[in-house]
Amino acid sequence: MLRYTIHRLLLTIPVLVGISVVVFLIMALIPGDPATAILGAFATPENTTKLRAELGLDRPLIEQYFTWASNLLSGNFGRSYALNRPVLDELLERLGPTLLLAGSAMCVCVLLGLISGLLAAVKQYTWVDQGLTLFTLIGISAPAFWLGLMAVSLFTVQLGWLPASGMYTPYGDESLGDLLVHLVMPAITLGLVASSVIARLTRTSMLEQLRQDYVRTARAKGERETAAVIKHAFRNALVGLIPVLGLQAGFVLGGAVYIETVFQWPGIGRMLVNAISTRDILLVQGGVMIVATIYVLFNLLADLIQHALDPRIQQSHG
Amino acid sequence: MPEHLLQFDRVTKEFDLRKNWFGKTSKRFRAVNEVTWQVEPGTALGIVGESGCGKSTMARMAVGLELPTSGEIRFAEKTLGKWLKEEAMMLRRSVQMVFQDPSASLNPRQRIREILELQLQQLTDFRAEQRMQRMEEVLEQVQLPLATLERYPHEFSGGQAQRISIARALISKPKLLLLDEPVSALDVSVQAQILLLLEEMRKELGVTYVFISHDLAVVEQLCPRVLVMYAGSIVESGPTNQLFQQRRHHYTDLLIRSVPMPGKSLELKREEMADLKNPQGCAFRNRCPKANHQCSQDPILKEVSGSIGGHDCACHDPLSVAA
Amino acid sequence: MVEKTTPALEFWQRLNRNRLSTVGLLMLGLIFALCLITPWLPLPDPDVTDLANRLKTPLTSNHWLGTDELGRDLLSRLLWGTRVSLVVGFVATLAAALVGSLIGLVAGYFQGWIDSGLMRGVDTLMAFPYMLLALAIVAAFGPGLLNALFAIAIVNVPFFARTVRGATISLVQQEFVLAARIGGASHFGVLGRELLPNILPVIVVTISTTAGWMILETAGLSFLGLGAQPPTADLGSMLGEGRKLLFTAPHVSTLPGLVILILVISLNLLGDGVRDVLDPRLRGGALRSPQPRTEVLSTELSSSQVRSTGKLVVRNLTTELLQQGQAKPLLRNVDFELRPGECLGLVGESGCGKSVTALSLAALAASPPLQITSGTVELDGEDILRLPLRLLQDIRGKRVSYIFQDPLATLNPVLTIGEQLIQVIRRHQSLTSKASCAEALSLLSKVRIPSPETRMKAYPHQLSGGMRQRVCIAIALANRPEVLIADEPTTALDVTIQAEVLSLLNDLRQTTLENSQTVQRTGLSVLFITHDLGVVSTICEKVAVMYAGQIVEFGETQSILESPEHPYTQALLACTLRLGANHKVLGGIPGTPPPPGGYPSGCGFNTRCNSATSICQEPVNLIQLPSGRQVRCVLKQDANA
Repeated sequence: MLRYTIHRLLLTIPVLVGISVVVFLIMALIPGDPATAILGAFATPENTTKLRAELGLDRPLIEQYFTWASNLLSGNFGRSYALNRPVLDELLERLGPTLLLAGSAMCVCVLLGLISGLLAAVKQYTWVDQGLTLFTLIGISAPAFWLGLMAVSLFTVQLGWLPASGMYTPYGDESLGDLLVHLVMPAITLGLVASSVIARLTRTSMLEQLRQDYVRTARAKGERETAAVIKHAFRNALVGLIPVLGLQAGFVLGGAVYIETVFQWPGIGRMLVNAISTRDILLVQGGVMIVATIYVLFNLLADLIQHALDPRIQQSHG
Repeated sequence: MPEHLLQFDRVTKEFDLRKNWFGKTSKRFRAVNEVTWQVEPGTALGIVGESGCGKSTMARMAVGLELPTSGEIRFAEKTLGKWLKEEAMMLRRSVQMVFQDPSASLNPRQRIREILELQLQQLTDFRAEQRMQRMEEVLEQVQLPLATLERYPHEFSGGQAQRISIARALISKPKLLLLDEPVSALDVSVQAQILLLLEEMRKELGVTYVFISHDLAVVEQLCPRVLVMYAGSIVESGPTNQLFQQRRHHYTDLLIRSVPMPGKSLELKREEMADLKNPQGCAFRNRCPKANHQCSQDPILKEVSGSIGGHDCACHDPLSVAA
Repeated sequence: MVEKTTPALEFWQRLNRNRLSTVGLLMLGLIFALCLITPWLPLPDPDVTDLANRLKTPLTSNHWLGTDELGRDLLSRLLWGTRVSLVVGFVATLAAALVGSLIGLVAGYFQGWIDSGLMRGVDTLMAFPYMLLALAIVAAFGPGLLNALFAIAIVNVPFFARTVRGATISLVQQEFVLAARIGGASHFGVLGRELLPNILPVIVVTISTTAGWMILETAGLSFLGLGAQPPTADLGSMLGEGRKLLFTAPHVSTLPGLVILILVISLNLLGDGVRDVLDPRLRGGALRSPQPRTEVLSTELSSSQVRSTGKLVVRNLTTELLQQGQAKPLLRNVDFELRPGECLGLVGESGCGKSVTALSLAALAASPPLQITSGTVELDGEDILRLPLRLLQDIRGKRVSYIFQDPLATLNPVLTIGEQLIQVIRRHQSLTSKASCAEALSLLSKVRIPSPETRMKAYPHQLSGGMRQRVCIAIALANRPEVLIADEPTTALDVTIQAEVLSLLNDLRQTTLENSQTVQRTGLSVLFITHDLGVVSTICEKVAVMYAGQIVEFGETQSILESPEHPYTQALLACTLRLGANHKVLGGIPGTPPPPGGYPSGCGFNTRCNSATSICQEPVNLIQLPSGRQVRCVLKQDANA
């Protein structure tokens, strides 16, 4: 296991390099002069010349990449001209809220998805299954941001139970309770949408597993039905679902962009949207790099869990 | 001495099991281990062995689906290996193959007409009416009605589908047909039909067969000569009757004694199994009742004393001829 | 032969059977139709502002759905917006499908460095949360509908590439592809004629399941103000504009969202239907998962006319296959009994119902689609088919146990051998975990597994086929059962391994027989299902020959093999190959065994029998011959009478 973990950790290095190349290329592909684009409204002649020299735009692309990448490694993400502060500072400030939101949404997604999928499969073709199927169908078909808006109009405008936006009440005491009250709606909206995919896959996968020969064997051994379903079928279904959960982290991180926008959550997603509209390219680059890295780490975790659960992969990796 | 139609000369095939970071192979599996054999025109050669012994890999190398890691395969005294280049058309027309699973060997989305006609288009320069004529001819040979042409593969039973596969293989009038377990997926009553058909075709058309099977009785029906393979190597070869009745290798002996037959119950005895992992030497020695210290050296396939018609065996301490 | 259909026709028929997907198709058709005729509908211009009439609520005169903050008619804007969303969504989907499938096809077919090169790129794109990558692309190229389309398409390419590559890889080693290569097909020919037509369903399924996503993603970009730019509006940008008015005029944002929801729901419903039809795993109609026990229809009580000495007595067992509202019999009045300590062979060709018989005995036949419509299975005089589930579960694995054909599929892949053995021991015996562990070890050595301590911790895939089957035998014998049902236990094994397993089973039977004399218990009774007459003669004292769901002959093994009475048994024996017998087999039995459920009426063998006459169309019973043999053949009845 340790060997595999190290092996897998080392494998993330080329992935991160690949990500940085893509992010770099996207910037390099910007039509026109990147320096002007980066500076946007701040593009005075002297600023532009200074930035050009800083980015080394007169040098070959490969050299530019290495300058940029080594800057990243030393924590130098450049400077946001729109915000007039280092990109890294802004990112670090915004990282916490995004992780909090995405993490809580993932919890909702995993718990709700697995349980309702399992339930739907076991109660196949009953009203439980049909209800859950309808629910998840809406979940995968509705735009997350629209669901967020609808939630606001119900729980804030109509019922007045929950605050509509932000992380804390302005000028409040910033207590944990206040944070939770603000977190509930965005986290559940995001988690609910993400859990629909998981629920549907869990159902399909469970139905497939229940047809397998080893479930028949379990029944032939006289196992009680609960044991046959949980110990045998669900355990096997889970093995296949773990990587999907990893991928779903990507959905949650991407969906956070909308949810943060709708609920005015001060995270990286909302920052990215603002940065794109002000053409704050370095900030976009930094944000994308950070979120992609978090996603890679999520997938790494999913991979390690799956490795621990599935003896068959253990062998093929030695 | 007759010209050999197909010849394997010290052919080895290795598969990469695992690659390391830099794409270099760190673990290999030797599926076929320096085998040498040949088949004369107009005969049928049986290759028997259990799953994983390398018999199917040999068939796939003979038709060019795999390239040998080392050694040479010759067809009509010409070395294969550059199949895709010159003479490719002639070779493809001359060497065909029939697979085990009749339903998997026909493209589910093509009508039988397309399947057969494509084969003719690719392998011959027949015009449309010549192709039609040839298709009619070959369907008659495998005893299927003309209406077969307009149907899809899923409309046929296993036996019928296998007849179609045989028709496809024979349509270009090949000289050599490789049959890879062609009757293993079929029921006994259908299996006998196909075996009879194959026997008739061989007599009628003079095609040479290389017949691969795990079933000794099937091979005995069709093939006057047989090779026995174990773990990638030939352990014994010779005329079928002689080899089965006067077997010299302990593996052949075990194989034959293990075949259950109606009316003859197996002498079931407790088997002991050693757990040897050393790759050197005779591969069968951990299951062999007569294994001794010599067996850690590679045995050589050599003619057994007093044999008629080339009976070879690779064993340091072969069975004596049963009285 | 099956009725003649073309694949396309069959596709529509199957799709139509799924009511939900038909609803989806209709809804989608309606939306499409509305969008097509929008320019000719008597609607106000969607972009004409009318500040006097701003933020009208729905159902006001002239404005069915009200107006937005600039007084523009919402209905008109919604229809025009849907047009834009649909076009962008579908173009993006098709572009992604085209490029992605091509990459996947080429990578999967050529493999090697082409594959690793292409897939490295694809994996790198996959390493981004895809919405984020879309944002980054739009960030670089600037907001705009075309750029959004481009971004969404790129982001979805990897998904298609991976799916298609996987499907291609599983196809390239298929025998029909190999046959085409041997037949001289060029790379282009193989890709175009053999692979593409078979991968097309996969591509269609992927398109139908991603089209909804694509529309959502496009709407998302527009919502953030990065897609459609004013005055052009798509559904997403309308939602984005309406967001600011959530508190004052909620309908401005509710309505576009609803339209997206309906559009995507109908796409997903249709997609689910398409997937169900095209996914080979979901074919065959058996969509419902098997229940814990086979459904038993009749409530008939023990027939008990004759008290039998049999350990397991099967009377009149009829199992049917329920498919599309039709019940097709798979077993027709199967009768036999298994005496204590006896080994009975049940032989027949594929589809004759021997496995269904085996599974029906402990109500394990998959239900649905199978159901037992009549008959009893008595264990020591008690009908076990109609026991309450909990009591039946107490019998399974304890008094009646099973060994199945494929030991890899029948063992749970993620549990160790030890866990699976201990599970069954502790289920039926109250032992401490230590004692059951010791018991498991002794069982493993009883089935002659070398170094059982290490094997306890092994997973099924780490053992060879023969070793796995030994483990299955150990599991079956763990609670000293009275009846062992072995369903083709050696068919998947090599012949030398088969001999070892048969010898093991034989020895274990002998030991239980010896033990039984001392403990006053009856020995283990075995029902051995196989298609191999040779195997039968090796270990069974009696044999029942099955054909077309019926037992056609029953008697002592030795005598049946020497002098078969039923024409089928005779023909079967005549075409069974015997090694070293020096005889050529002549042709087998004409025709093929009838498929399960498609049995001819009357004698099941009448379509292939040489001596069949018109009376053979009538049902015939098992006839007891003076020799004690039972035969189901009219001809024997006449000879006997």
